[in-house]
Amino acid sequence: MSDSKILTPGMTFGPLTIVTNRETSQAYAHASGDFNPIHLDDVAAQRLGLPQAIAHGMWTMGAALRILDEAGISIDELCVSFCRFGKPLLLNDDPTVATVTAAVSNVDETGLATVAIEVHCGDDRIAKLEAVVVA
Amino acid sequence: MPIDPSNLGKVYSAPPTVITAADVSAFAAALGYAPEQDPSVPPTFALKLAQPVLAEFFADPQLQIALDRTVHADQRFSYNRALQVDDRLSPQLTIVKIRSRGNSDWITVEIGLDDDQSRVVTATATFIVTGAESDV
Repeated sequence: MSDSKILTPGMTFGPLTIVTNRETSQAYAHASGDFNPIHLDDVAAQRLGLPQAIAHGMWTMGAALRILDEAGISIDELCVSFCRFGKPLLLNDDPTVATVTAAVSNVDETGLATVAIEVHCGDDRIAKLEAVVVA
Repeated sequence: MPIDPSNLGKVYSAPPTVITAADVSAFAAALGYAPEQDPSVPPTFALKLAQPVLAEFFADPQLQIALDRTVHADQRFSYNRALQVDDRLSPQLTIVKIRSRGNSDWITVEIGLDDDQSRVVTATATFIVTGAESDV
């Protein structure tokens, strides 16, 4: 493990841009096996009071965690990941662009670092994540 | 209609599934990872492996959960090790929490993915199930 990967509080990563649209949502449904119609069909989403189809929360979480790669953190070092979903990411034919940022919020005495990750789209916070990794 | 709290502790299990390179590539591509010869397994892939038990859970007539009235509130994964291609993992889902608030039910499930020896990943999901308009 190289020294350059050692995480210290206050280190920041990103912004990483994540992009989705209706086609991506279809691809994610097939790849994940999650065919909840609210992610594929505007009418189904509207029955739930949403304006239109929304991205899978798990797509947002999975795409946001790509920022760990960008930070040089290997998947083998990931102990815990957590995501709380906020505002939905609305799907159009055109790309919906969201921004992922991350900061090391804590490193404990056992050498575990907590990385706080946020996903925003315009003024909306789409998701708030935490990853616990080996520092 | 609120979810009957007597369902707390209910367990669903499914036969083991094997992680294939093709499945990992398709999943990683949908998340926007650059194509790689041997892609590592994305951290959220665990929930794909849980689909058989999630399908059983969502189809349980005793719960009466409408998938199209369900959204994900939060998701946690605890990893004992990273998932790898060729892993053969058995999923088991347990209902660990049921709460009703107004017209909505909050239901938390814990999904374990085990190899032949031990637990590899624990995935904990909380879903919000909104009642049909006729229930309001």
